[in-house]
Amino acid sequence: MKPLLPVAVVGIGCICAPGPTLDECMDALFAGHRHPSLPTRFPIPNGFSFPVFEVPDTYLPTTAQDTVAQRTNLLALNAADQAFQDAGLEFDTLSHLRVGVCLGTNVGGSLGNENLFQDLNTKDKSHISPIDRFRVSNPTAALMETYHTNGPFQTVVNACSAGNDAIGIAAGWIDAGWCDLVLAGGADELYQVTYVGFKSLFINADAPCQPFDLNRKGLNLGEGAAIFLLASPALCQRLNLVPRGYVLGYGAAADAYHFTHPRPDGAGLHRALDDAFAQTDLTPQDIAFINVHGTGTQGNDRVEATVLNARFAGTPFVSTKGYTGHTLGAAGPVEAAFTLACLQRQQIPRTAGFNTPDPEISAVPTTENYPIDGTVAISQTLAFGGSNSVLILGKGGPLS
Amino acid sequence: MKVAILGIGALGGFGSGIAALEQALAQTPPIGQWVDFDTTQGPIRVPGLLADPSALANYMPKRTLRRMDHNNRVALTAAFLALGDAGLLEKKERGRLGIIVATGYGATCNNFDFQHLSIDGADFCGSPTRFSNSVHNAAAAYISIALGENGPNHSISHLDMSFPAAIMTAFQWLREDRVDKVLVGGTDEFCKAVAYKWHCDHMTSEPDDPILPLEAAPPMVGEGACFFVLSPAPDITPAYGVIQRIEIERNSRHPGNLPPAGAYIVSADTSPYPIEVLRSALPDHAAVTSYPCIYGVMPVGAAFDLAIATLCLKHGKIFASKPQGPPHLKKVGKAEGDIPLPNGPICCFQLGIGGTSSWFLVDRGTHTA
Repeated sequence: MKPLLPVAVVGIGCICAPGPTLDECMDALFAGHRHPSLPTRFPIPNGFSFPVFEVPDTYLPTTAQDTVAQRTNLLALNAADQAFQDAGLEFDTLSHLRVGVCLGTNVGGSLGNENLFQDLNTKDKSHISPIDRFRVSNPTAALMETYHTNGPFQTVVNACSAGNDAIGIAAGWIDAGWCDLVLAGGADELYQVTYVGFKSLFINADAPCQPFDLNRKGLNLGEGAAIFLLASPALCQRLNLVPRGYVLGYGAAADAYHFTHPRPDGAGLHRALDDAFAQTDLTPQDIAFINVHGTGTQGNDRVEATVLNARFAGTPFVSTKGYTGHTLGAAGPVEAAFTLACLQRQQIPRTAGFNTPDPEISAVPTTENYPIDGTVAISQTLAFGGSNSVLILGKGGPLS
Repeated sequence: MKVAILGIGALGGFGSGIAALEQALAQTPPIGQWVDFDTTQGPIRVPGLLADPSALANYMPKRTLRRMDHNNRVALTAAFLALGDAGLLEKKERGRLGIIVATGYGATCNNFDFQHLSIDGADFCGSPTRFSNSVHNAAAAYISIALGENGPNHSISHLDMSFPAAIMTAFQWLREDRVDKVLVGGTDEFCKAVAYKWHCDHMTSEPDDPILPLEAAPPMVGEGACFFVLSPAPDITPAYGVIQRIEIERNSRHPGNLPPAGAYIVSADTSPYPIEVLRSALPDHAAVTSYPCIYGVMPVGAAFDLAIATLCLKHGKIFASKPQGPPHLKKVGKAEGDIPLPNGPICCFQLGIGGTSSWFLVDRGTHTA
C-alpha cells in the first residue's frame, strides 16, 4: 500500500440531533444530553414505537425549510456552510481552484424514487423526470451546484459506511493531486422506508439504544450531516490554513459473508484496519481511542468487541450512537468530526446507554467522560452488505 | 498511469457475453420486447431491451440464487462473465481484488415495492429480504459474497456519471496499490417508473392511437450490466487495450476540453443535450458515433460504450451508429457506416446533468495481444 501523506482537514461542519454545530454537539455529548422520541415527520405504521433522533427544525434556517429541496440536501448544505466558516474561507474566492465533492448517502439515493412513486400513484407527472428526481435527492449534486465546484465528484452509496468511505476516497484525491480542495462527508435524513425497513430486520430498539450493554435491543435511527474540507498542502501554505485535523489512513474491506449479518470473526474489519494502518507508519499502540460503530445491535457490537479485544486491548473506546442515533450515510463523517473534536479537547464522552457489561463480549466502552493522552484516533463504520471502513485521524495543528 | 482491460462481461438486450455485444455491433441491433403493465391511467406497453441473467446458473448453484432479485442477478452474471473472460474465475489467480459497482438508479424495482408497502400500509409487514435487496450497494455485496472477496467493496450512484466515477476510483485504488486488480462495472434495471417516464416522453396517451412498431421506436429503455477487470498496465499484455486517462468534472459554462482522439463515442443516455453544446465540445471532422440502440437507454450506458470502444480497437474500425441513434447526433457527424479506425485513441465522452461531463481515452496499449 502506498503511504498516504497526511491530508489536512481545514474546516468541519456538523449538524445532528445533539446540536446544530460541532461545538454544540460536543457540549451536549459531554453533558450527557440525549433526546430520542418517536418520529414526527412521517406516519408511523400501527404498532411501531421505535424512537429516533431527529434534528429539530430550529437547527435549520426557516428560509431553507421552505424550499423544495430534500431535507438530506438541506442538512448537507448547512454542514458545508459551517465548514467554510470554520475554515475562514469564502468560496467565491476559490473559483480558480480545482474543487471536488465526495459525499456518502443512503436516503439521498432513494428519496427521488419516493417522488416517482408518489407521482405514479397520484397521476401527477410533474416530477417524474429522472433528472428532476436526481436533482432533488442527491446531496453531492446540491453542493456542486451551490458552490459551483469544478472538480471530480462522486456519490458513495455503501450503506452505513458510505460517509466514512467518501472521506477516505476524497483524501486520496488530495494525495493524488487531483484536487486542491474537496468537500467530503455525508448526509442522510430520517426516512420512512428505512424506519420500517430496519423493523423488518428486527434490529430497531423500542427504547433508547444501549451500545455494548448486556440488555441492548438494537439501534435507533437518526439524521444529520457532516462535511469536511480537505485541502492540499500547497493550499494550506498559500492561505495560511491551520488544520483542524488530518486524515492519516483509510482502509475499506468487505466481509464477503452475509448481506445483513456482520462476519463473526471480524475478518473484514481486521483487513480494513490493516489497510488503514498500511497507509501510515503508526501502530495500534499509537491510538489514543477508538470511536466505534457501536449501533447497539447484537451482531455489530459482538464483532467490534472481538476485533477490539484482539488488537486494541486496553485502548478506550466510545460509541456516540446513543446521542445521535444511527445517521446512516452521515454516521461516518459525524463520528469522524466527533473524533477530531475529542482529540482537540483531549477527552472522550461516556457511552450513552451503556450500563451493564455483557460478559459474552467482554468489551466495556467509556462509562464516564474520559481524559485521553494522544494525537491519533480511529473512527470506524460497519455496514449492510458487509462493508467495513476505517479512518485513522490525527489531531489538528500545524504539520510538523 | 494507464490501466489495462483484462476482461469484459457484458449482459443486456443484445444477449450475454462480449461476443453477443460484438455480434450486435457487426450485424443487426436487438429489437427489444414489449413490456405490459398497469398504471393508474390504464394498461400501457413500453419497449425494453431486457437482460436475461440465466447464464448465472453456470457459475452458482441455483439454491444460492433463491433470495437474489433480478437486478442483482444481472450484475452478478456480468461480473462472472468478466472474470471468466479474463481467466480469473479461480480466486487464487486474482490477487487482491477490489469491487466497484456503479448504478444510476439503484435497486429500483425492489425499492418501489418496498416503498409501496411502507408508504401505503398502516399495518406494515415488509419482507426483510426485499428491504435488504433494495439498498443501493446490494449488487456489490452479492458479488463480494459470491466471489468470497473481502477487498474493498464500493458502490456509486450518481445518475449518468456513476460509471465514470467508478472508473476514476478504480484508477485511484490501483495507483494507491490498494488492490492488484479491480472488478468494476455499471448496472441498471428496467423498472416501471423508468418505463412510465419513457412512455410519457415518447408514446401517445390516447388509447385509440396506434402503437408505434418496435423498429420505429426511439432508443428504448435498457437494462443490463457491463463489467471490466482492470489492472495496472505495465505488467501485463492487455486483451482489450488500456484506458489512458479518465476525467470527470463539472463545468457549467462549457463541457470541458476534450482531448485529441481518432474517434468519439458519445453516450447519449439519460437526457437530450442541446446540439450546440455537443457541437462545441466535439472537434471538427471527428468520427462521432453513439450506440444506445445496442444496449438501451440507461444511466450506466457509458460502461457499454467502453466495451464497444475496445471492440472497435480489436476490429480496427468504428462500427456504424445504428438507425435508432439519437436524432440530434446526426447533426454532429454521426458515422452512418463502418469506417476504418482513425489514428489516435478512442474517446468515450458523456455529458451529464448539472453541467457535468466525463471522458476516458482508450487505446490498444503497448503490448496488445
